[in-house]
Amino acid sequence: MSARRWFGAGAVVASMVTLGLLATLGTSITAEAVEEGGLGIRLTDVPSADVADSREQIYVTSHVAPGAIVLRNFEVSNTTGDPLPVDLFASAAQIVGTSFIGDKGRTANELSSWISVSPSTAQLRAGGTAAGVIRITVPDAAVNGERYAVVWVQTKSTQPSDGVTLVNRVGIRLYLSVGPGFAPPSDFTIESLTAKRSKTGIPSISARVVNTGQRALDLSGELTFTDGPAGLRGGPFPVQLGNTLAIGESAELLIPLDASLPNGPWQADLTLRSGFVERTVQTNLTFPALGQSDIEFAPNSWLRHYGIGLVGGLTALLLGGIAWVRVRERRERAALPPS
Amino acid sequence: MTIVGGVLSISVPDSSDLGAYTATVDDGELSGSLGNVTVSDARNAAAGSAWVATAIATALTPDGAGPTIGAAQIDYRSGVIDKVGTATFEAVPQEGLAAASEVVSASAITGDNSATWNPTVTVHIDSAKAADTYTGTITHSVS
Repeated sequence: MSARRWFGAGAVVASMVTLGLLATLGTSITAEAVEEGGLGIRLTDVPSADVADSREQIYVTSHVAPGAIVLRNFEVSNTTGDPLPVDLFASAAQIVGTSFIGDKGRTANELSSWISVSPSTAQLRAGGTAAGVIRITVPDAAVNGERYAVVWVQTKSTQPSDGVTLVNRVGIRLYLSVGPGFAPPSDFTIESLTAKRSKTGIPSISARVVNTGQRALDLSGELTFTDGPAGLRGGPFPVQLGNTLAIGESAELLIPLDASLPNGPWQADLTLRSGFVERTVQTNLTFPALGQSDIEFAPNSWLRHYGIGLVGGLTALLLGGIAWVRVRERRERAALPPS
Repeated sequence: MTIVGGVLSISVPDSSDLGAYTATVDDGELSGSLGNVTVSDARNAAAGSAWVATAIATALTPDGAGPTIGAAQIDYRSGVIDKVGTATFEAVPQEGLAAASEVVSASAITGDNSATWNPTVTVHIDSAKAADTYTGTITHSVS
């Protein structure tokens, strides 16, 4: 490995600021184009009670009572051709916008302070794996609520002490909920669908979603169009931007669409889900023409569909009832002998 | 029958050379590549799965006694993302790497996927910085 280093010069040579990094290996670029492998992590078990929540296969999303202990098994793997020393630890995380973001370094929070990861270091041989355990000890006095952390496996580039060190790490998300009894409800409402057309004519829908439950949500879903011009159908189009929604937050989830989709009118069905919670709304909408501004639509509710009929029906019943009573009174009066 | 999630992985970092910067009276900048970063997601595309890659830097500190170059002076652009699989990948350029900042993310995942990018970092160097060798750390995280 050739290291080109430039050092601060004397008075004669112009001063230079150096960011001392090592040169890349001449042959490494070709080698990297082939499978170079990496450092991986995965959970290797799923608690049977939570198997209905598909997120539990890739994240820790348990709900537990104060004083409980949660154990999850995981495995780290090295698919490169060289041995790899790694560190393993838990640190804090938070939901920023619609992204789950691990805090820097080994920043601690309440949840990470309850977590021990074993082993805390490993030397992974080329192509090797190591098994590990995440142990979460929830204090008896833990306050109810959901907290976020990541269990990381981390490595470094092999650099001499001068230079910019590159550290890469990969982790498993934790969304741990604490409280007595059953898990608090996950829920959300889809408040509106906004039909847009970009300056280049590409239509899209943005759905405003509010997390009305007590757990963070990882949303996915799709939008289907039916009953369009000349009976056209479109989609399903997947929700593409926006994913993690914190408790009490609202976000716009973006669904880009095909440029060839006509303006409409359309019946749009949007289904969103997180874990095992699923909601579908139906909206009749039309896209704006190029140059027109966005149009917001509220989802159809049962009142819209059936409201007129219901109110009309009730009114008819009421009027009919009054009329019937009047007719009876007249008949009774007619039947009475003249006084 | 149990289906267990597959592996989420990140490439192991290699070295790169940002080179040297000739100081001038004015402020200036130095750009260079960090080398490929690859994230591979072989988890079972559980509904709502996604991954977010962030980058963060420490300050660059000189060997000698001069001022540091703060992490807020380091910009990051992922550049073109080489994508595999069905997912929507988003690149987020960052001005300043003082906090863990999202740089590449994947959502709308329907199967195994991977993304490779070779980020360009640009260090803003004002004329007050001394001639020296600077060291620091850039961390890529994915979860």
